[in-house]
Amino acid sequence: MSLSSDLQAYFGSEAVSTDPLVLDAYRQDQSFVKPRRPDAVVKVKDVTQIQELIRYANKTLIPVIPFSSGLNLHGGTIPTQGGIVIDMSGMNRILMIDDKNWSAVIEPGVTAQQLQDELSRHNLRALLPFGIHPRRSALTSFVERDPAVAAASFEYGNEHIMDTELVLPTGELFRTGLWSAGEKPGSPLGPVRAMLNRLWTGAQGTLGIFTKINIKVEYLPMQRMVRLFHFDAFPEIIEPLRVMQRREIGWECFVINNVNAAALFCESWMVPEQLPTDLRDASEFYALRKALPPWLLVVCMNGGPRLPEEKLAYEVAALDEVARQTGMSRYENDVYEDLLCREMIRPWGILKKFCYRGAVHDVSFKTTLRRVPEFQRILLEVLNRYGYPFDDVGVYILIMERGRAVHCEIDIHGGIPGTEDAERIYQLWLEISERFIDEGAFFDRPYGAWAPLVYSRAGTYTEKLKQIKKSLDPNNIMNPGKLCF
Amino acid sequence: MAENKPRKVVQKRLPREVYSALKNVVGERWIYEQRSVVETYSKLSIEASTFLRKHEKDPHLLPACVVLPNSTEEIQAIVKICNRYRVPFIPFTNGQVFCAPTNAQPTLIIHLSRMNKILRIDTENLSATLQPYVDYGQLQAEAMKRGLWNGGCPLATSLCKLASQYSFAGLWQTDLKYGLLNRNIVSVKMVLPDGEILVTGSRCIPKAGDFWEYGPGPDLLGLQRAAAGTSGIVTEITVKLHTWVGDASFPEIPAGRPSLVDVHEPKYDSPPAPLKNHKLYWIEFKDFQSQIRAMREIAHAGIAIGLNATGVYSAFYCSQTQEMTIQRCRTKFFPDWNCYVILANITSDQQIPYEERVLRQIVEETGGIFLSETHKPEVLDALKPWNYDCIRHTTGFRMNRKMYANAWLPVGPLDSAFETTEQWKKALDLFGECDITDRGGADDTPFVYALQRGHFCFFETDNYPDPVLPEEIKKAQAFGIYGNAVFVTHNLGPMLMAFLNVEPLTTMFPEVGPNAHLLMRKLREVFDPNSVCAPGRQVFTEEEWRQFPEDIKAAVNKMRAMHNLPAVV
Amino acid sequence: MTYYEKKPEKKFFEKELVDYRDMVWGCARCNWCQNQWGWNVKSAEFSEICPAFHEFRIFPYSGMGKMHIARALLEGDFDYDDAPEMLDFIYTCTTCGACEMNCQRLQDKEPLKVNETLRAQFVRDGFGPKPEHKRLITGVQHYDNPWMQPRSQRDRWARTVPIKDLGREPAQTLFFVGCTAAFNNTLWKMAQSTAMILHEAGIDLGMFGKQEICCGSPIARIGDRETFFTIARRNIDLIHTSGVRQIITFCPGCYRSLKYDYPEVPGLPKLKPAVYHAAEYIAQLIDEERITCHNTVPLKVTWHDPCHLGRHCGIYEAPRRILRAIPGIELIEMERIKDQAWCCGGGGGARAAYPDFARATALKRIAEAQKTGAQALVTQCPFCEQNLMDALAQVQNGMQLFDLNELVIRASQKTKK
Repeated sequence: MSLSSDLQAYFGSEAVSTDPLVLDAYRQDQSFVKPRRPDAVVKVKDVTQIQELIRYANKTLIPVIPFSSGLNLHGGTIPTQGGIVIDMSGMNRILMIDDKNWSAVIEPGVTAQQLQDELSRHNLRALLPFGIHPRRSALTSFVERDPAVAAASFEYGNEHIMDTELVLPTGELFRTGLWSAGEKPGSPLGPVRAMLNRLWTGAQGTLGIFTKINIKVEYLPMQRMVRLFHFDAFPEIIEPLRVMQRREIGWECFVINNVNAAALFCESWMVPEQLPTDLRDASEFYALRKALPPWLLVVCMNGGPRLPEEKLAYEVAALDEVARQTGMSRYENDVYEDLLCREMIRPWGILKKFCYRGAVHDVSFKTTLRRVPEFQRILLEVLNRYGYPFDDVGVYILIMERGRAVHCEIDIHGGIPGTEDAERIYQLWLEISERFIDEGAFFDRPYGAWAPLVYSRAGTYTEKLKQIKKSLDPNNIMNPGKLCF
Repeated sequence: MAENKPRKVVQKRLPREVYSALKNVVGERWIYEQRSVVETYSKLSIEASTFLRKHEKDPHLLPACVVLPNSTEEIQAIVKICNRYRVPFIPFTNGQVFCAPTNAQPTLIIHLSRMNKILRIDTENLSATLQPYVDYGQLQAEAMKRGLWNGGCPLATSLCKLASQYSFAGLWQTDLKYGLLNRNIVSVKMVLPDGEILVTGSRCIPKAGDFWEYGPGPDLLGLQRAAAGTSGIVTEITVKLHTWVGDASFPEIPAGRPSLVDVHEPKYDSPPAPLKNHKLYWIEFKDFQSQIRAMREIAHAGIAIGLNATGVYSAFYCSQTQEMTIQRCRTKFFPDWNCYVILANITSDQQIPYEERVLRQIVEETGGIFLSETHKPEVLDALKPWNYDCIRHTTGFRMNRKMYANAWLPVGPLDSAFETTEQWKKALDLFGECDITDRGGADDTPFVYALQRGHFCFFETDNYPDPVLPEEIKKAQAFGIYGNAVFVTHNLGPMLMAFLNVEPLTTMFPEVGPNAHLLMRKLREVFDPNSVCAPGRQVFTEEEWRQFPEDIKAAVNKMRAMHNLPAVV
Repeated sequence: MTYYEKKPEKKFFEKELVDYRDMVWGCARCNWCQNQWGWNVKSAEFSEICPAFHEFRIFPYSGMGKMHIARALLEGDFDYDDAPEMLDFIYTCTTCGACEMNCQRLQDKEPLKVNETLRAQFVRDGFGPKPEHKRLITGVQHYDNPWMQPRSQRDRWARTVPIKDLGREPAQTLFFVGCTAAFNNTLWKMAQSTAMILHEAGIDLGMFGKQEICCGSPIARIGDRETFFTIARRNIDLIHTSGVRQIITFCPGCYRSLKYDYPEVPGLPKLKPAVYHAAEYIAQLIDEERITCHNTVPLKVTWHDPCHLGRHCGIYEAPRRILRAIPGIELIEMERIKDQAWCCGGGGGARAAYPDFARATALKRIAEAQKTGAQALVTQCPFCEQNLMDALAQVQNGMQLFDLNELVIRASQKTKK
């Protein structure tokens, strides 16, 4: 029996494809991860089918690669060692929105936009990351720990996962949280008191496949207010940010440089459907980039569900006070402020940046606020050597948990795989990554080429992950070749 | 007469070879195996079955030896010896929840009391790195001087070491805003049960620093948290800090300080309200429904740092003697349906005024009444210990006047409070109460903590058996196991804390998970291949399960049968 | 009998271990016997409260550990032969009562009373006390003082002080000096300054002189109830015969013993005269302006609360009021004060049997005092002063030690014209 006929026998001919043309859609993304065509794709409809497929894979020792939207952008779903792609994009139901307790149960195929649209009908919102593709799987974004744009707020911006349901690499169904006590989700804590679900986060589907998660959702603030402040150099931002965050002003708070700001404000560009995308006319972008200040600090305050004006009033007054104390200058622009207000809920406008050079290769890591300038110096050094202008580098610095950490995304534009400058951009991107890791940048989600750099440094952590992988996935069938597996 | 002499309980001994090896690590001063020493490391305070076993003179409750290491390296050396000789060990701080050995092997206690330093407070990146014996009182005192705090304090400031709370969940008064301790850990450095040293989060990468809790990649911190001491020994823990706007230390009580002559006078528990930049409100409701509704609205309004209901527990916390507690329970001195709210000025001094307006709106909508000068002032006055306890909990352990055991501690959405209460009433009908105070949580509000903006909640109902009456303790034990069966059959979400007689929950209630016990066994094999680290907790190896006391297995099966669940083998 | 049922009230010295059965079974292991009351913790360094646990780090030294040992002994889980080492755990306790304070306040339980009852049982059964303690008992039995000093030396301190000898003439007020200050010439100043102040204030003061006998406090703490009962009865007889109206003592041990321990002795007549500690009495005299502190004493000081004066008997404010009344004195408080004060290490028989532990504990108190920036440590307890003095001699860090009344004398004595 062939793989194709085996699978068709299980899942029907419509769900299974081994047609190279179809398979090619799964062979690569816009990252530098080496493309490879899967051997088959199965579009699954439910959990049972996933379990069956996994049992089959264990029997035949063929790798399986979980796939929801393919918009991970870092090679997470590229079948590094071939195998069967489990396409869950069809499992796209929002199974529950709990108005009373503010949570929602979603399947892997539910997209960010779909979720946000549906929630807004309930006056609720999901906390999404800045730059999520509207078609990206919301579930994957949460389990891959994409940092929400509201991450500055300890209460609202972090730890969104409550209960989960997953299929283990050996095919058993498993649940975490309250869900594990029966059929009803409602709490991340369950009979197994460890925060078990975290084992499968940032795991790129190597330890199991989430089939549903229950996430926290929050009220949709009917009144929001964005304030912008401009700076000439990053070190100037550090102290004002620290003061502001110690006073817990606003939920969303981040810094973008003029490249990212220009892309976001560029009216002639659209959020591309596919990535990489075609280049667009950049004249408006150039003009904006020139006109905008080098750095913009964005702070968004949200009115409460009750007496929203009053809440906004005291927060704005506090922010103004901090601005006076620390000498921050406001960048007044109603249009941009309004646009950013909308972006806080539907934060994908920044993806217009892809229109500049078609592809963006980010170097994403965590560090502390105080160390950002160090990494900026290293970045400039490497850019200079490659003759790549800093003017073409997008920077996004997201404040995490009131300044305990920052999430940095350094965008190198260009280098669409298979094009001329791909190799040069790859070398540049890799060197920046290496230099950063050498200096202590923390790549908490080590995709692609970052994985060996990170895991060669992580000692016992790496060793234990490998042992766990071996124990949970004795046949190494779950997305092999990723992380340290 | 000799034959009337009570039976002695004789401890087991470690092989001399092991003892010498251990002595070489810690030095002669820090190793003990005398009978009276091991006695003090052998009884649990809040777990019924160990009380019964003490009454039955079970020698397995006694550890064989106690060592007191002073560094990660010493702990590593000790753990390696334990692996070499297959000696079970138990990491130990206060020994309140878990301490007694759980199997028949001679067991080593690793008491961490010498490791009690705060290693670092990082005011810039809002974290503190602690040795395992540092408690909340110490951390808060140091952090508050720097305008920071850890976000809460559990039921007993000084008894709870953060590293041992890491083994559970770390519940505190201000969970509404700051979440449980398990959301407030940046990293741990631990000696794993196999003797390897694991560092989690950003700290595991050279030069990165200690600021980020996840990864790299799949997250091991979450797996190790709340493992009830089975995942190894924490030697350093970094916890998150948050803005603190109150006083650097707590102001003196107007009545002054008590002495042993007048210690029980209530005036010594009357701190002034409020702490700087904080305000505490007590609200009474006409019924449970309105209370829960109000709690949900308050949580969702985005106001307040703490929101909890204490129900009957106020009688314990706020009464200075046993008699007073019982009297107040009998007369229903405290409102049946109530909650308290803590507001703080973190962003601005306009924050409390705003939040108070929102709070008043909600209280009005839900028909609540604030306790005040004009409404039950004597109750408000009696509740004054909370003025400080709402931040740095101290009197919370007054609940232990007798013993409290085998609590029901479900976690879930606020609504599950109703079902929990119903089931608790049924259980009381079935088994009978151990004490009048058991009715708390059945006839009035259970303990309700609104966690993380009310996304989920924690409830508690307790038994208070008399520790010298085995029959009463058995009752409490039955409540405990029955509770687990209830949760499994009613999807009520056990269980925030662990109690040994229903451990391993996932083995005795295999419906849970599902497959949790199988998964946990696999993980245990990874971290503890020789099954030496607190064996018999959280998850059992098959061999340990076979050795598990038959009477407990029988008790579990009995309770399962009551809920039409098949017997576990 | 269930837990909350009222039991027939017994006096403390009548109680046996079995009377504490509920209590020792019910120890919650909350560990508050080792830590500062939660609201009062001011630093990580000074957050603990039990000197013995702080030094030795294992539970049998703590209040909790003693509850557990008592439980096991009571149930016959082990016997003296199985655990001879427990003698050290039970006697390495300064009876400072910090554990008792927090445990009573939180759990309505009494670990110190349990420990003292354990000691009493040990003595009764011939298992205890320590040899060093036996010497103290013998001293009291044979010389009426624990230090085995001849009775003839007892009033030597008073040669320079105007005070009546009650053996010769009557007086309204008995100055109960206590053995430690009477026989240790480095502590004479305590007795002398107190007597001088009271004399100056016009108090009709008398002493028993050579006839004075030990109050019995050390014996009670060590656990020899029989000797203590005898000495208590003798003291009451002596006092009643003397016809005094009130008693003043500066020794917190004597004070506690006369005021609070005697009434707990079964079958003993009630002591008729009122008992005052010198600090409360002198504070009152200052309030009434019968003593005026007109001389400036420029000194930054910190007050060490003697456990038996403060925590045990509630006298916290009087000494502080006195210090505040002295011009030039700046009182800076340590972190651990009053009910949460750290013991000097000198009490409960610990200094006699475990001098190294006593000194280590005193050094910790001195370190805490030094953190305040004070130049001097002031207290009023012969045991504290003796123990702190020894430790200061060892550390020689410039910290001075004063008896409270030394400062009062300095502030109140009339300058010669």
